[in-house]
Amino acid sequence: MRTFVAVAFTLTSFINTAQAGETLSAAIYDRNKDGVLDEAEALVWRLHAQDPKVLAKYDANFNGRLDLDEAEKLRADNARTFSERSQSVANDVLFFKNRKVADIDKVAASRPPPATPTEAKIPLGGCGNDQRLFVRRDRLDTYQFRDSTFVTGFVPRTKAKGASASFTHDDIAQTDSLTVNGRVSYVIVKNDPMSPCFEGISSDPYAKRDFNTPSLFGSTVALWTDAQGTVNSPRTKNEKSALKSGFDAQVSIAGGPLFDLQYLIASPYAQTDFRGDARVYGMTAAWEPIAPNLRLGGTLGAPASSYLDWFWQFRAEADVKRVDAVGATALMRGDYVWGGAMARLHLTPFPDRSIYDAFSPSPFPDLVNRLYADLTVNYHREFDRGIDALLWAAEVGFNITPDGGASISVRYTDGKDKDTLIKQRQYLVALNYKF
Amino acid sequence: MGKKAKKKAAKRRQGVVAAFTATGGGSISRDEIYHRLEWYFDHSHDPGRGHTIDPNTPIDSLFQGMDPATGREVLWVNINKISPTYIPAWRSALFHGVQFPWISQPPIAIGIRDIQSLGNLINSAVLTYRHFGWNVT
Repeated sequence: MRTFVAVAFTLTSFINTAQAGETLSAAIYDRNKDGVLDEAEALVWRLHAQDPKVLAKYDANFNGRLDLDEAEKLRADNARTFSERSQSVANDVLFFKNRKVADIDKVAASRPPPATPTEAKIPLGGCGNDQRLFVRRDRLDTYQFRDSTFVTGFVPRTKAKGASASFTHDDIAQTDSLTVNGRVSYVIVKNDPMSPCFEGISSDPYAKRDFNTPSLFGSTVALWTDAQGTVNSPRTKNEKSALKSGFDAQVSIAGGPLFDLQYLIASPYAQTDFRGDARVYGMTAAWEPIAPNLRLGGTLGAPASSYLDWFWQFRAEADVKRVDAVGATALMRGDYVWGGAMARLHLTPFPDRSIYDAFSPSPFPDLVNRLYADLTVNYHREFDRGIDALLWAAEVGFNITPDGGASISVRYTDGKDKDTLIKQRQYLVALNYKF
Repeated sequence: MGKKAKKKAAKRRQGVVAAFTATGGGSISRDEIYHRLEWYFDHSHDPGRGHTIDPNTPIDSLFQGMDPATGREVLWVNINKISPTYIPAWRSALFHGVQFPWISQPPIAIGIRDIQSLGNLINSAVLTYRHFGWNVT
């Protein structure tokens, strides 16, 4: 190929990081009010900027040093706030007390910085002004439609993969290819418990609540259009694409005797392909439970053992669809009524226990968080046509970098995908990179 | 570990638990709350050997397999379900039935929605115990 032109772009927004600037205004240092800082005034301004917590606060006469009365005020303030300051380090004192100095220095040198609770803020312009438009890779990439305006602890947009489109022109073969993987969503209604605008909980933080009784805890309705696939010119046999539009109606249920959290999601949709030839209508209903005590949907806390940690996920779903025109899919005309489930088991040999015992070294420091294994089983049965679709995949991987940013994995997939009805038996060796 | 050592460790643990439960009935120390939270996250935690989880530990790192927002919701439900549950190792309900808040209300409540670290959760628990009439020393 002599000429290869590829254009790829990512549609997620970028966050600009502002440079830290001078925060101490020079205005009050112009003592003679002539609009200019002379040398003595500039000296005091810079000294105060250098030591904002003590000198700038207590040097009341702006001479650049602490006089006796200023030092006395500092001493009095220090004594008055002793109790409050002691409380603020009380947890640290309990953590480090009665430990060997060498161990303390070792742990203290690598500990995370302290954090204060981040109270969620109402979005600028009020509760109706939070983010509604999301341009992402797929449904999972929307992070439950959570945005950075009120979510504490993380910013989903920076973690999101984003939508992508690529165009390839082969000058020798005279072919063009366009691949799109993306999902545009618009939130119509959102009542998210992470938002200060959340309705459904008392303004009294200690209002009595029964956690053994399931109750509604958040809901979202969002319109979406999802495009996944490739279109070629001239058309090729293996061209596959799906262009779907619909809406997600999702509720989460908190509490209950068995599960701590459950998601119920209904998604009616219409589907075609990139050429507009396929005509498919359907609705998917799904249930995703979370119970950390059963290691279902994730866990809270320490690994199961020093040798192996694991959790599993489960999603039950029903998918009803009518295919009027098959287009660039492997489906046949008629109705499909699928019922089934997806289960995933995630194994981590030699998990990281260091955060649960900061003073004890790991017995396998070189293997911690390096290996993983994943087993996924999808089973669906089509009730009208009697089709069984069992698709399972096993993957083992090794994290090349300690943070898991780059990994190498081997994956084996076997079975039939219910959405395409194509049999697969594939091995895939992949070098994975996450950013 | 030999049989004798095991027996000794068990006796030491029993002693510690007994000492902790002696402070029950309306009075509890920040130290004990810290240990109980450590035990909640790691059942192998031995209160006789000092604190092992750094209070600066980001709360998100305790949620395995869950995104941080979901993790907070699950933690809020799970810790409140276990709060009144009798735990034989502690010879009491783990958090004596006090109910951790979801939202913050300075200066009386730190909500689990807003916490960033284990230290924040300990402070939240201290305020919660005080709200429910406990004397926290």
